[in-house]
Amino acid sequence: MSRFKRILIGGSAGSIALVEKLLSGSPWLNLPPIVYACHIMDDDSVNRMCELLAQKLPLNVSIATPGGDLVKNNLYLAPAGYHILLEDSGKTFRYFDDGPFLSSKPSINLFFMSCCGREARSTLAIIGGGANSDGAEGIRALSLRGASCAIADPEYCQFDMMPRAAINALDEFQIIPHSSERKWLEKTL
Amino acid sequence: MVEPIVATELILLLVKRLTDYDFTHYSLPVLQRRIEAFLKQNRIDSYSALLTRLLNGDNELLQQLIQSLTITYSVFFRDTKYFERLHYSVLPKLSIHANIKVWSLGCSTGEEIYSLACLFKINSLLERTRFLGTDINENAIASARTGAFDIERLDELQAQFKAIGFESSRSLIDSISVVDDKFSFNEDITKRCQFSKHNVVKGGSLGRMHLVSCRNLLIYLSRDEQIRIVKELLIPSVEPGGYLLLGNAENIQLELDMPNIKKLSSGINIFQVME
Repeated sequence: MSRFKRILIGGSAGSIALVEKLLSGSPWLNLPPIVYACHIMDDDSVNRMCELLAQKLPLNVSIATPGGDLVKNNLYLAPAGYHILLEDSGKTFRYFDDGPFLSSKPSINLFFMSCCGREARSTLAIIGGGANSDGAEGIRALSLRGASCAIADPEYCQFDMMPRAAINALDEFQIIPHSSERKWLEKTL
Repeated sequence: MVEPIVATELILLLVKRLTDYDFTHYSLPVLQRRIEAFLKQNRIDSYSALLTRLLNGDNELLQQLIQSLTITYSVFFRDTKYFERLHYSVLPKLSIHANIKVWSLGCSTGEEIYSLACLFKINSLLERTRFLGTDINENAIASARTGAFDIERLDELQAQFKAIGFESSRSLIDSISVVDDKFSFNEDITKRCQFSKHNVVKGGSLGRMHLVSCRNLLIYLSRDEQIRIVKELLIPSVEPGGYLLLGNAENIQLELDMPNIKKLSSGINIFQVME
């Protein structure tokens, strides 16, 4: 049984490849729920990404619904046009409607910060590739509350600003080894 | 020293105790930044100083703080699928009425009301429709009443209008005037639109309407409160045969436990209240 009760992934340009590499392969047993917040602004793109990942990955893939529970062996995508938050100590989803937070929507910072209670200690937070620094403040807040943090290797990211900003914000973190992402995740869990 | 996030929570609890306003369901990091901006703007040294002044009964400061905390984010023609559906399915049905009444709750600075008014104008229904926009934020209401927006928002208005699928923007050009760094909705539209303060949690119905829109407001409230407001305020405010719009994020499956409510199509929260 994993010590993690949820895995939170944030990223923007190029981060979908990391999600695929982490999760593809043989079916998962007892995988903690995974929530992926990606900087996508329109419904159609999120729907397409959801269909694509559902075809490629051996787990259920859906768009997070407000009030919905986080369930094992499920990958949830953040919706377009809203910020996604976790409540009930990281067990359910909430939508939050506001302008961009630090220029980003959905904001990875807000998403991570919504999981900074005691539940942080049972949270694995991951930052993928991206072309801005969203997520750095949030992953630092999570780390200070006891979350485990991992960053995509910026050397292999098409857009490395986001992982580099996260690395600069953190004192303790792992770099996800390029080309053995799934193995790393299995070992970490 | 108290952590800013903890101080934010304390301030929100105090506001809740002193007023009708409950911001405790909002996102704390967002509110923390708003309080920080508020401290700077009002030259208050610290969270503790703000708490002290609120506890000492500085009501003027309390009211200013509430206005600063309220979310006024809004977009023209937001979720264009709603406007497509209104244009093609709902407005033709509403056109049988001689006088049409529309209510937008949580209207913020008026973007939704003016978007609806433009749509009604395209459908030649503007002259027989009254639009009422309500919001808890008095500053937002004052801004909505002017019918004027920064010129930077014009691109958004035009892009959203096109996204609905309207080929020509002629009717949009007929609806606005540009003066210096602002654009304004024309008088034929503004004279049909009224705005007033209303608290969705405490306020009652403002009468029966043919179209009631309450999008992306209930998500700030608890689940129980959302359902109570829908059943006790929104549905009773809809004329039989009229329509209720909830936001895409409002995951309330009304049609499942209310036989007189029909959802027009999956994916969009437009409901018809049956006669």
